[in-house]
Amino acid sequence: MSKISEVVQRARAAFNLGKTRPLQFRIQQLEALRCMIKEHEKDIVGALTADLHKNEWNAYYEEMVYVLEEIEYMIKKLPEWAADEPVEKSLQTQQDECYIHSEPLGVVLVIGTWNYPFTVTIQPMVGAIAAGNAVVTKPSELSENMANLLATIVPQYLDRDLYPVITGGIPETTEVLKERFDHILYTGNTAVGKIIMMAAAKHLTPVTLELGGKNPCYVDKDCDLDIACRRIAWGKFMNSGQTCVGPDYILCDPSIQNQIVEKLKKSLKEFYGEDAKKSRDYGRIINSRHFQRVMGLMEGQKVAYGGTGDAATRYIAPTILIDVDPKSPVMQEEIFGPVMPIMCVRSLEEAIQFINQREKPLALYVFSLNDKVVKKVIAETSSGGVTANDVIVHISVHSLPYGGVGNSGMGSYHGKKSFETFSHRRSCLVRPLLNDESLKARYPPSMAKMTRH
Amino acid sequence: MLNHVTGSGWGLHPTGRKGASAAPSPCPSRLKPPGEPEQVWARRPLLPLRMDPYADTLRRLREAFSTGRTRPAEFRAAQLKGLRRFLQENQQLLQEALAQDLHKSTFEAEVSEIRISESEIDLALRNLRSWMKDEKVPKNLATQLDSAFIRKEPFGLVLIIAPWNYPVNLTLVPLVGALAAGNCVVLKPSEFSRSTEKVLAEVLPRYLDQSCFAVVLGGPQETGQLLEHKFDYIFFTGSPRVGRIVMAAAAKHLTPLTLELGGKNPCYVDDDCDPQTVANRVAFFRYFNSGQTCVAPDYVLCSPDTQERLLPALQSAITRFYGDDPQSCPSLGRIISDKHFQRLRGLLGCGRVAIGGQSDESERYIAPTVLVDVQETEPVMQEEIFGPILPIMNVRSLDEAIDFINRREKPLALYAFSNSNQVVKRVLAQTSSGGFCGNDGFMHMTLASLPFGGVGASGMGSYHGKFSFDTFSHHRACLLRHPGLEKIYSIRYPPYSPRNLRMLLVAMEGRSCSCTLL
Repeated sequence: MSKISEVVQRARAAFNLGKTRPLQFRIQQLEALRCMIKEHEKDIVGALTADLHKNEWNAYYEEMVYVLEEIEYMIKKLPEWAADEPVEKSLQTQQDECYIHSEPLGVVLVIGTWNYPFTVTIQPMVGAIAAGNAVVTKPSELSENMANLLATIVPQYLDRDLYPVITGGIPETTEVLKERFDHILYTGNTAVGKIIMMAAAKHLTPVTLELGGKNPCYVDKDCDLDIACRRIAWGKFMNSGQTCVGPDYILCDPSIQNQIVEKLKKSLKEFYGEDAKKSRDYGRIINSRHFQRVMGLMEGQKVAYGGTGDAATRYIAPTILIDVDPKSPVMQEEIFGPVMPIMCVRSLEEAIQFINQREKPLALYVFSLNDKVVKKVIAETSSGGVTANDVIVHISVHSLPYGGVGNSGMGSYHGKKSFETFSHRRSCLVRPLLNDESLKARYPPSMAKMTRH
Repeated sequence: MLNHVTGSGWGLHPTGRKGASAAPSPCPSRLKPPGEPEQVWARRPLLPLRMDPYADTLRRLREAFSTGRTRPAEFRAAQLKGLRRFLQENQQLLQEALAQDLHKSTFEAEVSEIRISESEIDLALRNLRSWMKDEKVPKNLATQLDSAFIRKEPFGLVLIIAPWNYPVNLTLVPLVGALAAGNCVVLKPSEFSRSTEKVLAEVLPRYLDQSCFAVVLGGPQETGQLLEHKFDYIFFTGSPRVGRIVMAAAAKHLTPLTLELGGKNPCYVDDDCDPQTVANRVAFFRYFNSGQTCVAPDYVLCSPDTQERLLPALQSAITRFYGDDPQSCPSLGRIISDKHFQRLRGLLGCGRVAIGGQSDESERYIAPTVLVDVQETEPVMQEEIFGPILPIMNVRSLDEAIDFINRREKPLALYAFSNSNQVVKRVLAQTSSGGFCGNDGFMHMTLASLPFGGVGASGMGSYHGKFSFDTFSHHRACLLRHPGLEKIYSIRYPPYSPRNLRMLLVAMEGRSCSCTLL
């Protein structure tokens, strides 16, 4: 048996012992996780700096805070969520107990990705632990420092059999996918999402796939462009554009394109100075392959700002492209880099049509002071989630499910949705074993049974 | 539309097909019955586009969806009302079809097919507008001034693949959810329940808007072809074996799905019980529809003592229900096909027949049967029985029963009979299954407020009532942010200062408010 197989079997054996059933155990593990984060704050920051040039602020604000809040929320709500949920009864079941009983699924696999390598790996884990599962975690090898850190510190705080961390690349991921799990949560790209689902199909394992897409950002003529552009610049260029829910491209009327460019530039200078390369706050591309890929997307485009890069440091300047042709490569794939194409559309209808001709994105953004415009965009498009008049922030609301639709994914998590995703909600009806007088009517022979209700 | 599909010369109608009986069993078999063709659903080479009989229909339905036709509540309500009229105006037709397909009695047809479908339609009509409403969610401190809600949206084009055992119920109830949620629907009824399939294909579309709804016919090959296309949601009821194939096909298009599969549903009978009451209930639910029910008790687990008390009680129940000659009783169904009949007749050779055991090939009749002295390794304990045969397995204790259950795949349903509520609750707590009923058969699935679905090998996802509506909807997270108040949010912008970080850390320490101070 391979080492990975052993690890998974051990997790299953530990789960089967029933260790994770008592809420106290789960809460204690979550508290240990919280301890781990607090006691290794500096190491976490260090890993994020090494992998993605993130600074302390990024590490706390864009990663750790999400996880800590999730843990907090989970601990507080667990007794309520784990309790049996009574349901409305029918006439025939008035004397019975009818409720939904939440149970752990068993052994969950969480496959993380590299762009927010702490959050997207640990936040799902929090939900899976709270729901009473054993959790096998496979962080992304591309964010190598974080993967190694997690493999080192997680076993120091959490039950080693129940919550193993597996490191490695494609061969290890392929190996682990041969094992049978009771749920798989994968964050990453569409192509690999399909592979994961195919592997899951062999075992009839349900999956949550957090994928990506090109998140459109429609900017209406009727809006405060200063504010809109500042917010867009913040969300787009955060982590050097490597954010699944970042605005991918802008749609706007040609008459405001120049203003948008100017205001984006202004915000970028406020954020990162004249030369973003010198800013402590500006990120780097994860590896050379992605660096080349993103640089390639700029070729042949009209550059209004930026457009340069440095392969040695994997730095790409914050870049704005204008008058972009929808058929060009930069409009064909998720950019996942600090390049913002602006596409001109002559009307709201054209914008909506443009969006609907493409795959459903993970997020959609609309900036307008006109309520009707906002409502129309939401009503006539689809996406995983939406924020109006800002970007990204819908994913910070614990009571909103975080997930995609169509090519951008299936299933969702965060907060209570995490608990539900990683639980089986089992329908239960318990009646007393009294004599059958009252039930005799239902038995054959069935001549007189045709009573209308 | 229908003619386009059936009249294409591809022999899609089941009567025209060769090997129509050599189709996969709807419920699983780890040991394949002898003679079953290998991989009936093996991937065929893709037919050239012009030979694809579904492309036009699917394109038409997608176009209709993109016009927004199915969005308004009025449209959806009209579809549901059409569905209700279909049931009301074709009761007799449907009863005859069910009698032809499964020898279903009027009572069973009424109670487990028509009435259940009608009540789901009524529930959806009553609640449609409230289900469609945006669901407001609690906000954290940072988003107090914003509007946060979940918008329920149709997925788009939905495929429903239905089985043959409750061909009205298991086709129409999912359809109710898909229509209520505003989707366009392609329905693929089972080719094995031929008479019902005919009614669904020829009569049902007249009651619905056919620009948004289509019925397609065919066997495994045609269904495989259909599955090459992209759907926005797939709802499948059938066997785990075919469920895997459907999920693999769905993976190619990243299509989310609900799989309602099967398993061996254990029925634990405690020593502390009234054997006659238990026997009445177990027999009723086991032999209903001649055992062809995904949630029927599949086998009994009890002590040898309880077995001794149960056997005469079961015989008494069977005689009371079906008379001395069950074959002549109109209440008892028949097996759907020759293949399944042969399979079940083979199972009669397992263990020892304690009650029943008779069969008649000409009618595909199998007597209500109880088997004892069965070994775990025998075929009757290796596959979902899906017939009127009830094996009794002996265990010496509750612990042993629970171990037995947990060694096997998670079933769709699990039953425990005992006067002791503690025993019932212990079985519940120490096992897992799609659903559970203490001291009765599959009553839990008659309650629309309980989600109906499996877990593990018995399936994923659930439906019934509001769960149907939610299953066929995408739950879109929406946050409408205040366009001003920029000062509050400005803490998040670079350049980041140590002061801002200190403020954040203090807020995190305090843990009294949300720290995502966006």
